[in-house]
Amino acid sequence: MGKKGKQNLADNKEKNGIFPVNLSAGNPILEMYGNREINIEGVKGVLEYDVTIIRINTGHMIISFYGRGLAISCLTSSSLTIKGFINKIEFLH
Amino acid sequence: MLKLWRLIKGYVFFKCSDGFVERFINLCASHNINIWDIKCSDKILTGYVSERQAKKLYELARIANTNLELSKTYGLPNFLSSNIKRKGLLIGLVLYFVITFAFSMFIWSVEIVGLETISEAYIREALSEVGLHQGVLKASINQGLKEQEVMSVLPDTAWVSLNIHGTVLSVEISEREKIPDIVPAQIPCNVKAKYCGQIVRIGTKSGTSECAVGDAVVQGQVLISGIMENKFGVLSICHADGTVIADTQHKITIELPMKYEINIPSKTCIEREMIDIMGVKSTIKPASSPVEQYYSVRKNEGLFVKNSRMPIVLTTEYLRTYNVKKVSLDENSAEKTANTLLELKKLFMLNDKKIKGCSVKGTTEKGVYKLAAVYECEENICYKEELNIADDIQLFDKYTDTESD
Repeated sequence: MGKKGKQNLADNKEKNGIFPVNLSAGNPILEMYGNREINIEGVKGVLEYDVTIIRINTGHMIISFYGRGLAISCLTSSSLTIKGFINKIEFLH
Repeated sequence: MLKLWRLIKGYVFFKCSDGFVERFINLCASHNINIWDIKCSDKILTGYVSERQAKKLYELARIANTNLELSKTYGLPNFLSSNIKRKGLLIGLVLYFVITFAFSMFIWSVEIVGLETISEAYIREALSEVGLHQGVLKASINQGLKEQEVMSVLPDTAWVSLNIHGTVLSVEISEREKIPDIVPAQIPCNVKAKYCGQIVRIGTKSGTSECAVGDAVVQGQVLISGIMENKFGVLSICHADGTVIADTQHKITIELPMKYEINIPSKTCIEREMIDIMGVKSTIKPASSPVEQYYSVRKNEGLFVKNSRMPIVLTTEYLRTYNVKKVSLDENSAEKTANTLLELKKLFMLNDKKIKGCSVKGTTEKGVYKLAAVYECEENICYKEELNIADDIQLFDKYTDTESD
């Protein structure tokens, strides 16, 4: 196998996701229970908080949760839990 | 679980208005202050924080430029601080813990399982003899040792198992089955006479018959021997078996005093009531003992809640006085009573025997009526006794000597 072949294999591995994404530092981990509850790990801060929108800074991106009756049920230094009726999730790089 | 922990530690409801509420949230997160149930509407933030961390929020609110208001406090510390002056409540709480923890260290009830023929009262008495009763400290019960003690006190038990379930001591008992007096078929034995008598019939299945029809035999005499001799003169031992029917005599004597005393209970009855709580007895209805002669009967009533015995026993003692009445019998009425007693005794003693005849004679001697009955019976007088080689060696020698002669 030549140099070109090795390069292609490495590219394919990266594309197919052989290595778990959460190992790469900085990415937030989102755990969803339907559209009623979300646990987010890797939170850097809350940018906006209202009943209809919660905007969160995770460092690499800003995640916006739209819906109704949204509330932060639990908050720690690096994670939070959002409860409510979530309609839309938006990722901003 | 988390809710319970928060209740124990205590928590405060807070309200944040104006300024940057998001910054306030972020500051809480960065300062490791746990806040929960955070709701935000119209720039008014509400939530809960632990009582210990509540004061730190003021500083964070100042940085975030918001107005903080701590309103209600919840949980055990708040409850205790508001009710500390109510001594009754405090005493009740202490009593609750004493009852729950201290009382669970004792045996509340003793349950007995597996009884068939032995009475429960007898077992309870034996158990209390070895120190297993209500009110005993659970830690003082050495199960293995106590099981052995109970076994030694109760010889009719095959095994005893003690199990402590909470505050209940469960005693499992397996009764000993009496081994029937039968010599196993593979063990050599003799057939001997149970009673004295005259032989009527002999039916030998195995062994050597040692008597003939018409012979008189005494109690314990060998009827069928377990030592056999074949036609070549070789001796061998076997399990002797057979039936020997003989005429026997059985004598039953009834003695009845012509003058005797009987106790007639009077109508007056005194009741005493005692209560036994966890082995501590106290009288709840006292009464003095009567001056006259009396006998007492005790009735124990245990308290049951959902089939489990509580450590409370109510004992009622009935003290009944009685009058002594002298009764004198004439010969006819004595004979009548003696005959009734004789029939009863006959039923128990000669039930399995064929009665061929009887002679009854009644006499009066020194104020006692004696009824003597002699029953002539026909019965199988056999019983088997294991052949003891050491004892029977003389008999064996006798055979061999005769053979050598």
